[in-house]
Amino acid sequence: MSAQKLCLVLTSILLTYSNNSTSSENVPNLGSNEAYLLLAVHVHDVVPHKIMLKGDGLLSSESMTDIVPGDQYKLISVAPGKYTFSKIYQNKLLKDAYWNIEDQEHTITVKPGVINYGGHLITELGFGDIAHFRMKNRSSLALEHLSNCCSKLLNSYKLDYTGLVSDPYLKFAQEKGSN
Amino acid sequence: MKNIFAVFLLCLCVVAHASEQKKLSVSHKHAQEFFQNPQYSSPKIDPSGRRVSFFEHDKNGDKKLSLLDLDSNNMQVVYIDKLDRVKSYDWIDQDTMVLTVRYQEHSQSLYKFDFIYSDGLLKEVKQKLILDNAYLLDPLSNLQDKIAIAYYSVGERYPNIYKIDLSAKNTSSQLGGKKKLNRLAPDADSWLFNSNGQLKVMQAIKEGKNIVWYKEPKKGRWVEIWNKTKDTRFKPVLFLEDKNQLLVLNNHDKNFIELTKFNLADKTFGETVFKVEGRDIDNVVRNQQRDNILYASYTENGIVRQKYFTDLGSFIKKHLNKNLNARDFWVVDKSIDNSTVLALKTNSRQAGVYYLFESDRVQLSILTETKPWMSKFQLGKSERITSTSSDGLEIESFLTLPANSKESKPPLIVVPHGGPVNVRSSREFNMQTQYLASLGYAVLHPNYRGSAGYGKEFKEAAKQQWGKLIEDDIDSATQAVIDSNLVDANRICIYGASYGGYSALISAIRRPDIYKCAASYVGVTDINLMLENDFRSLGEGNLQWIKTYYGDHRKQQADLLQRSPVYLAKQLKQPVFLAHSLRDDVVDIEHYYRMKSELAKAGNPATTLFLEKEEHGFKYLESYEQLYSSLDAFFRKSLELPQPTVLRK
Repeated sequence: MSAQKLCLVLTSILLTYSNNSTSSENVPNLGSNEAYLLLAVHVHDVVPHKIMLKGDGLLSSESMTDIVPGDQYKLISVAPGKYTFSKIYQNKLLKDAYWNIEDQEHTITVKPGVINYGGHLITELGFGDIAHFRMKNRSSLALEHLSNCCSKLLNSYKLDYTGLVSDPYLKFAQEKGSN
Repeated sequence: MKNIFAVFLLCLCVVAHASEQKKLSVSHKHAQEFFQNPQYSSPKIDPSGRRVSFFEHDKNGDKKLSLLDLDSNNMQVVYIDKLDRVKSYDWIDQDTMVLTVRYQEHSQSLYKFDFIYSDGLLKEVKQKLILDNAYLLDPLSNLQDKIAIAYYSVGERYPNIYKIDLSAKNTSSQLGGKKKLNRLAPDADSWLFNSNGQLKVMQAIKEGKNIVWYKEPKKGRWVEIWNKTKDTRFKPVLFLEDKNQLLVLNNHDKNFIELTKFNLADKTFGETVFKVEGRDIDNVVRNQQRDNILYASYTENGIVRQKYFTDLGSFIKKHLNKNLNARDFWVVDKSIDNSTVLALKTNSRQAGVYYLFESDRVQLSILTETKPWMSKFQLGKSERITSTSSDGLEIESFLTLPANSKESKPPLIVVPHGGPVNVRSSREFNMQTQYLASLGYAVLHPNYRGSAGYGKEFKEAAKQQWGKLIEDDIDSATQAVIDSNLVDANRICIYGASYGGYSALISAIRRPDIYKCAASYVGVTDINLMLENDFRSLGEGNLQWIKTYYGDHRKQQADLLQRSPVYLAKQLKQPVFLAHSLRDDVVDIEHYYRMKSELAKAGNPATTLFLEKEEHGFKYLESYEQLYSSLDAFFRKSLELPQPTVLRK
């Protein structure tokens, strides 16, 4: 075994041992009019300051903050209904300046009794006024994330893709067993 | 404490990894040597025929725009493009050039270069910004100092078309509502000018429809002359003013694309000007004066041919073919009076040599090679093979054998192209094929049903045949090669990109008896996901075409799942290589992640490669290096091949 491989093996053993904290995951039961919503965002290039979500089941807009490049997720419990990504704030300094993306209809349908996932919102912000936003179905990444952070939750509630069209993948993947 | 120790060990690992990186594999070093930008590119001749311009790419990555004076033999660099921003350039007259420069992803600007000479030597180059958010449409060679441009106003999706006078001090004053050539006209994607520099024809492909308009001379109105599905080819290429006709490439009521006349008065087709039996005409290039066709091109036996419509044809045959005994010739550019011709000679083993012919000296000379470093390697020769698919359809394919194939039967890599429709493989020089051949692989490129150039019926035979008859075609080509006894039948892998990646995976599932491993780059792994996710933003007209050719994910979901590798991963027992790019906006990375996950669960984890900054293809040179050296390592391990040896001269 090369020195490099030995290093990697030892490191992964130690990290696993030192970060083993899965035992304390609590899974609150959902009420009859509640559901889980997994918000997912992938950020290219310039990192937005805040991303807002609005929907019938929210008293005020929900936001994602502390955003970093790449994938991030936020799990919230909400009432069933439709939820839409509405605003993207680019710059902490220009706190009132945002892109209004509500009419782009990046909408997630939330059904009761499941963890709802409607796709990753992909943001590509350049400098100046260049910006592109789109929703992409990345169910396998969402499933992998939940498997890593919240395996007990996944044992209690299935992850369901509730985007605009049907996709049988999550049902297929979860019937076979999660990662 | 444990965390601190873990971090310390991690740092050690990083150092160890960095030092190991210095020891590159043979195939990676070969890839670095092999995959380079051409040393010279985009050569052109000025209208007078006395200067040749070209880009020279130096080892620092700089791109130098240079001029070679054919009389004095002096060469001068006129511009150094350090950031590869100059996307194209055109001669306007012998002292003026217009360049399109891209500063950001979605914007480009037009610049003018004026060359000031003294005593035959270039003394000064005056650079001037013509306009931002614009590109050159037509240099309007018959009009002095005039060019036609497309200009994008802020927020507009379609450009406005203008004729700009380059001799005027101010460009912006030449813009404005009444000066728009496409004022009160429908939105279009392409425009055709006549020899007087007048905009006569516009074309748009929208929502699956091909629409063409013509500007009536008397009333000045734009009249629709064609509106059919984009499946039927109709492309105006020349305006014949005196006859009130167009020359169009079309396959209306025909199987193959021909060059025919089209009467504008009654919108009917006239005589066929040029056709090739059993082949589509691929393209037509007009002369600089825009009053005739320079040549039409088509593909025969995998090689692009040109049919010349002016006396340039006999000129080429007499002076160039006679000396070079080759039909593999492109006319790249020429002076207006044909006195100087720039031609490119290329074939499957030759990346390309530029020749210059000067009629006054009756001299043919080599100008430069495009990729001179290729001469160090023994490259593979390509030949055409045919096979019969399961339903009787004849399939044309191209097999490249490595230079050492007579010593021992080489392993075979089958490479189905992407698409799957309207794309084709050829026998033209291909860096990726020759990289594999120079490492001792035979490479097979099948032109399965749906490939471009074989007519409408051949294309339509691909409808809804993902994982079905398309792969039968590929299998028939592979079997023909096996039967020829030219390759090691027990060492065959299949690799492709995009649709080719899908085909590689599904072929390995269908025929484990033939394909011992499969590799996919930016490949589709879930057809339903592709139709639902990747194509969602397309308009209804385009979606209709997609449903016709690929399938309807709403009505045919179960059938599509049965032909999607993600859902069949358990059946894929052979080694698999999966590569994808983070910024692929054609086939989303979810295809890669799903397949990776399902293969892992099935107990057959894939070898993987993820290109962080790449898109759907090869935007960066280093992507070739990483992907192809990784592929070689994967093939060698899967097929139990010895360590690589580069075939050098």
